[in-house]
Amino acid sequence: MSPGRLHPRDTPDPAAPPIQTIGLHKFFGDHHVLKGIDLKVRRGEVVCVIGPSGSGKSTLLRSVNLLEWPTRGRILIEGIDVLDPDVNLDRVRTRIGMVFQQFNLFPHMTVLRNTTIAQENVLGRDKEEAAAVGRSMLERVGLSDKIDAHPSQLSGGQQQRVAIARSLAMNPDMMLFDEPTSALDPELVGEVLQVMRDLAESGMTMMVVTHEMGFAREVGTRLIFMDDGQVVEEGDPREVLAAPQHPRTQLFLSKVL
Amino acid sequence: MDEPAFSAPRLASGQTGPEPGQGRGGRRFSLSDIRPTVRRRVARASSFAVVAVVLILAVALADWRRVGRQFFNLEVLAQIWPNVIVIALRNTLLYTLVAFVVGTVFAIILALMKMAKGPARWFAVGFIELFRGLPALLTIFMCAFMIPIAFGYHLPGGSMGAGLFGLILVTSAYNAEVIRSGIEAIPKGQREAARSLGMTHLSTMVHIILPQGLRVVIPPLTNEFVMLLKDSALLFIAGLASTERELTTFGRDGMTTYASATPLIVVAVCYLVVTIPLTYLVSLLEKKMAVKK
Repeated sequence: MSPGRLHPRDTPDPAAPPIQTIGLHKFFGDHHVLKGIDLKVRRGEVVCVIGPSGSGKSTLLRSVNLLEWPTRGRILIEGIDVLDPDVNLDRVRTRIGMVFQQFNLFPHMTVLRNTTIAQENVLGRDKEEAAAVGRSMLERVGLSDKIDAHPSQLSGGQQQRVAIARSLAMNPDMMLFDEPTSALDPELVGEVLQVMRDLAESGMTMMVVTHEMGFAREVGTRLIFMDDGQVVEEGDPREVLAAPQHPRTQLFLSKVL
Repeated sequence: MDEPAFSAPRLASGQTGPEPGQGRGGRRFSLSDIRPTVRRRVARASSFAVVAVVLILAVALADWRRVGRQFFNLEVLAQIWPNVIVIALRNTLLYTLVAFVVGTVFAIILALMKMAKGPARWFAVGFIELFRGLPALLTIFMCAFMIPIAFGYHLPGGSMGAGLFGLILVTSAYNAEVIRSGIEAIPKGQREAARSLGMTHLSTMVHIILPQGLRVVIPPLTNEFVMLLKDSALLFIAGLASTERELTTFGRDGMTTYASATPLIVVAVCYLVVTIPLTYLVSLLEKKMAVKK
């Protein structure tokens, strides 16, 4: 899997769903975390995944770009079977933006450098172009004035917006969000959700693991409730949140709403 | 409570001992019974006491005229000046720097190999264990004398170069462990963020992990530098030409030439002039890093 090697199976199919998992299983030792997940995320969808902690929702999201390697099953990204050893995984990953709960900004780099390093290193853009893209993405998340700051000088909400800008600078076809507001102080949650809302309105395909039911209701096009490694219920967020069908969904929502 | 099994014979022999049933609290006095702050104060006081006793004995027993003639002889100092600086100190610093820089480059490679899988890891583990397990003096000695005999190959720089090569081996083994600990201290989210942006394993290491990991280990690496500076004295075993001499060899030669201990004192002062500021720097760096976290 040397970088830069081309393979027919590397070419994305624009007609295929951005994300599809087929019979996905994941074990951590004896612990069965994902028990056969079949999921299809279509272009432009905003799929919100909710569920109690330990339900496997983060593991599912992290499997999509193979931060977790599934034990069994298939994952297709824009039609590419990413578990195929001949597929250049790094190339696929550039098309999947990922935002983490803990932001994971590079603390030894300025905000702008955070957004340009992978552009130069992975996409081969030159310094000027990468900086221009980085600036425009930082402007998009409302942080033009923080370009030369270091991550430690920013609030949590600002750091998370930089992380979003860093992902967007790679021009991804889809974005994964792993509890993006869970590590934030309550008053900082809104600014991050607003950026995600704008992103959804621009037509980005998004998969969001979240506890923000308001965001799921207003922005999500589909809601998935997971429990014990399985998809228990899914559907239109408004309907599922207003009238959950499955007892486990009812129990969970009665606790969080 | 397994204590009585040991205290019973003592009691039987008539010594004063704890009452039965006193349990653990009744065993013989030990320093760990005292509160930590008190224990620290006792430890500090006793080390001051040792220093005081030694000083008093030295002052009382020394023949001060002879000490002055032997240890602080200005005529001898004039003889070895300025060579002690322009040859000996300069060489010590030069050897230390070369061994440190080259050794650290090797150490980074070894650390990465040790964190990989397969033969690379086995090699790194073997290398590190070997050269950390052997005395540095032996390694230097072996490089200087065994390599030319075994391979018929003379390392550039003669015996000095061969000895320096041994010092590099030792340094790389020690620094590899330090650097590995630094790399492992970097949260895994950093690697995940870089990989999710499509960066390869190698460029993640070069651009994201190593710069942070090396920053973390600046204080311990500075410590290693101080140790290395002192270990450079071991190069004497390789046999150094007169212009190649480092501080300790120079001091020893001076002692035999002038039949005076003054060169040793001068050399000792030279070491301290370099090592004490460096150790001070380490504690400053550590404090600064603690604040940052």
